[in-house]
Amino acid sequence: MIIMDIANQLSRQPSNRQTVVYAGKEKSVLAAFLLALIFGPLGVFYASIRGGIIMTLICLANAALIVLFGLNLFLEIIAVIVWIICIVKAYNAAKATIKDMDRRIKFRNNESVLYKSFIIFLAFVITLPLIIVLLYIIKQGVLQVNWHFLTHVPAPEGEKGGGIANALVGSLIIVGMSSVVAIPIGILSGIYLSENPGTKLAYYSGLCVDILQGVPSIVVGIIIYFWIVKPFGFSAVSGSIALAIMMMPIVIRSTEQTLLLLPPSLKEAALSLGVPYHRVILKVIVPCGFAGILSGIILSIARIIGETAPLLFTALGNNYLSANIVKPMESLPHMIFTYATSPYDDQHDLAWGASFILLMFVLLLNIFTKLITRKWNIQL
Amino acid sequence: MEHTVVSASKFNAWFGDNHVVKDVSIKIEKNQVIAVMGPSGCGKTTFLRCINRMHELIPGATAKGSLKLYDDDVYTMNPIYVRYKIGMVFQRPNPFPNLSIYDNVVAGYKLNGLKMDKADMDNIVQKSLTSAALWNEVKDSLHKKGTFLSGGQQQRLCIARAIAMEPEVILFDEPTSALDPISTSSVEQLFHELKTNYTLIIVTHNMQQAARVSDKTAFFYVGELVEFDDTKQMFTAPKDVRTQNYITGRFS
Amino acid sequence: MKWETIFRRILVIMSVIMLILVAGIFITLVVQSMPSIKSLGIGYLWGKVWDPVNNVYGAYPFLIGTLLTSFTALIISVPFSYAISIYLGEYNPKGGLSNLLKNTIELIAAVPSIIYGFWALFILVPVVRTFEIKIGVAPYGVGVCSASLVLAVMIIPYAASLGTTLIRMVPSPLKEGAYALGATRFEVIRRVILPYTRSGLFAGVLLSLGRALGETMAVTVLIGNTSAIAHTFKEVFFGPGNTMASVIANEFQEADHTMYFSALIELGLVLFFVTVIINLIGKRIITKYTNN
Repeated sequence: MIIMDIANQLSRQPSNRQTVVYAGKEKSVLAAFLLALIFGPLGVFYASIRGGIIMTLICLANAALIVLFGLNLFLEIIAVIVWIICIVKAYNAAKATIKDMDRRIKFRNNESVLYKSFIIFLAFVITLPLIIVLLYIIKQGVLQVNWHFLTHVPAPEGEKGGGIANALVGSLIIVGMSSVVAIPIGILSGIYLSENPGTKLAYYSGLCVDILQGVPSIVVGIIIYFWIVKPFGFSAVSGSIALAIMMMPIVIRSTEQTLLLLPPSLKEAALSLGVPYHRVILKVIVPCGFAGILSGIILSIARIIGETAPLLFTALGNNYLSANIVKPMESLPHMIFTYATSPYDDQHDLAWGASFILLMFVLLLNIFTKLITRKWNIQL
Repeated sequence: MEHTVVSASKFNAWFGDNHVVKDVSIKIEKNQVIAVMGPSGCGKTTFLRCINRMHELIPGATAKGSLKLYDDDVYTMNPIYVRYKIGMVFQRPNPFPNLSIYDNVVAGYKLNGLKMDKADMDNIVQKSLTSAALWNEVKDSLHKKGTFLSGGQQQRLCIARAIAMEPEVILFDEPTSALDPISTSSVEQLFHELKTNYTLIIVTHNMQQAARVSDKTAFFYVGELVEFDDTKQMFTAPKDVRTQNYITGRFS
Repeated sequence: MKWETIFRRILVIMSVIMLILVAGIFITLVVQSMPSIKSLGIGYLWGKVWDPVNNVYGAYPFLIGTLLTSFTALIISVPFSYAISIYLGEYNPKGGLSNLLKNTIELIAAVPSIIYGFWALFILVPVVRTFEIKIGVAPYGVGVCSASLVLAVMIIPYAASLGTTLIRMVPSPLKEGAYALGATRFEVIRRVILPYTRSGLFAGVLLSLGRALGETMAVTVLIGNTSAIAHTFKEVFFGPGNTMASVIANEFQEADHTMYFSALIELGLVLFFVTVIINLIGKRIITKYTNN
């Protein structure tokens, strides 16, 4: 055992301090790291006997489970996780054995700097996929877009040319109808939640809003199929309702949060002037929270304009330009899906163009929301 | 012959362009309790935080001048090392909520990834908690989390945590301002016992406290060290008119 | 006075609509999957063969597909969300660069999933194909591997934004106490900030998982749509498969008899349950956090 006196590091200081005893021999951190990297659980033994025993036991237990239950599917994933844990354990164990105070401090400082660089690297590397996706879509899509593209329907299969007019118009109509349904219900529901926060109905209703927000989009599509398509047939209306169900939670939550942030004195001032409740809400409270509610609405539109799954069995698609809402209607995301998976190159080209338009739409809506929130300084 | 533990010479500190500590020079001697007082915004807390180099953690904070621990300039040493030698107790007790009392006391060692024999750790825990006058109250619940402790007990736990690192100096930033009177007096009692082994520098808003516990007092005003003298002297016959005005309550 | 009461009634009705919707969704799913539940029972969940032509239904391949894609995506995404949370929460909470990163993350969440799927089909899949040739598996390109990669990128924003908020909420006195004891920044992050936010970060991971489980379109395009299970892990991971969501999306239109239909709906029911429970647990943890 090596006894070390911390106080002796200072110049001209008598050592009347208690000494700290470091257990065990010193291990090289680099060696521990490499050994664990190569040999996994067995490599941990170098740095720490106890750690090595624990990791080997875990490994054997895993192997036993896999053999007994035949879960060889997950063998590789578990092995990777166990390996990583071994490396971390070995690193920590070796680090704990550095004796010299100065070296130790220097090591920890370097470790901190290394960690920071690692974090920065990971955080920013994530921007790469996004940039690549955006660039590609823009590159491929921009070539497709011209006036003809926007005003004509797709050409028959195998033929070149055509455009996305039916999908463009379809998306606008479907989303428009969804908004008409979802916005009033959403805002009113949000008002109720913010005005009556303690009631049972508010609790359960809020719970349902959370549930609705988490329902997979395909399930919503199935439900509307049973409720509306089965009795009435495929139609744009059914698609709108499905999308409306997905819009509502977002509108409700943002309305509720915006209104909760308003000062209560506002409502009190209006009420004390003798204004009836419904006017207070509709003419005072809602206009004050207008910006927040508007951003919530725009965000929800941006979200559903790109949703495909709910439309798969409701609005279907339509090769012709149509404004008939009780018949199937094409939409941008649905068209992208159909054409992306088709074997014809011409249709792929159309899909790139459609993706570009859709992407620009979504980006614009998001930027618009950002501007509103920044100008009116709201929390969403 | 007393040894000078902490000395500052023409020390300055800024927050961005805001000159908060101006040309402070002071010599603090070993095993004494020094009170630092002054009105709000006079730079006393900033100066305190420069001593253990906590000041520079705030973005835009800078400092210049000489600040020494014994004969070593604090700003040339590694800050981690400085903080080993100069401990700090904060205004609101801040024990780590996810650690037990035992782990809180040795937190300084655990944070540095040190591995110690259990016997040594037990020893340190007992010694520190005893010096902080908390041992008898917690010795049967060492491995419970400290959430059941009162404010005064939590503060003494933080003191024990600082003591466990065996510093030379312990800095206190208004240590009792968040405590009730009984806890306050138990902590003040501690100051008296601690000074045999450590040097204490206590920033306080409470003049009576300064008068009660300290050997010497420093009076800061608008960033300058106006007066530094024996406590008895300063409170009965201050040399500077500003000190006089502060003590008599003309401004606070 | 009359208008007031009417208005209040309307508000209540709107909120009740939410309850009706959720109840309706649940009931519809259960009723429509009844035929399949009744005749196939619980064994449906580990039936290994999915053969609609011969009326044999087993959900096991889809459970595996869903779990594999979601968990792989989760594992891949966690280090990145974690790094982003720490960077934006601790190292650089304000300023131009941090705003840039924050906006980028929000942008990743804003891009519609079908666009990710479409892009990946044409750009990522060929890359995966060449990789598969190199390691000696059948070069499908599509499959669990591609789907997981794209899914991972898509779910990063959820855990990242939640994590950032939580890390910023760690009280300063706690961090200062650690610094004053001589800790390095890494040690403060590791031993003070992370333990403090541990359950909240877990909730963020749960929300990401919920999103991954429910994701349909990108996965449908990339997963290859095969309902058979391969034998070795390599084959399963690098080969085509199916998730619960993608099989519904693909085969719903073709379902011609009740059993087929009902088996698919039962998958929808399972999906509904699992995602709802995970999301609720996640949200519950978060409210506990923000109330603390």
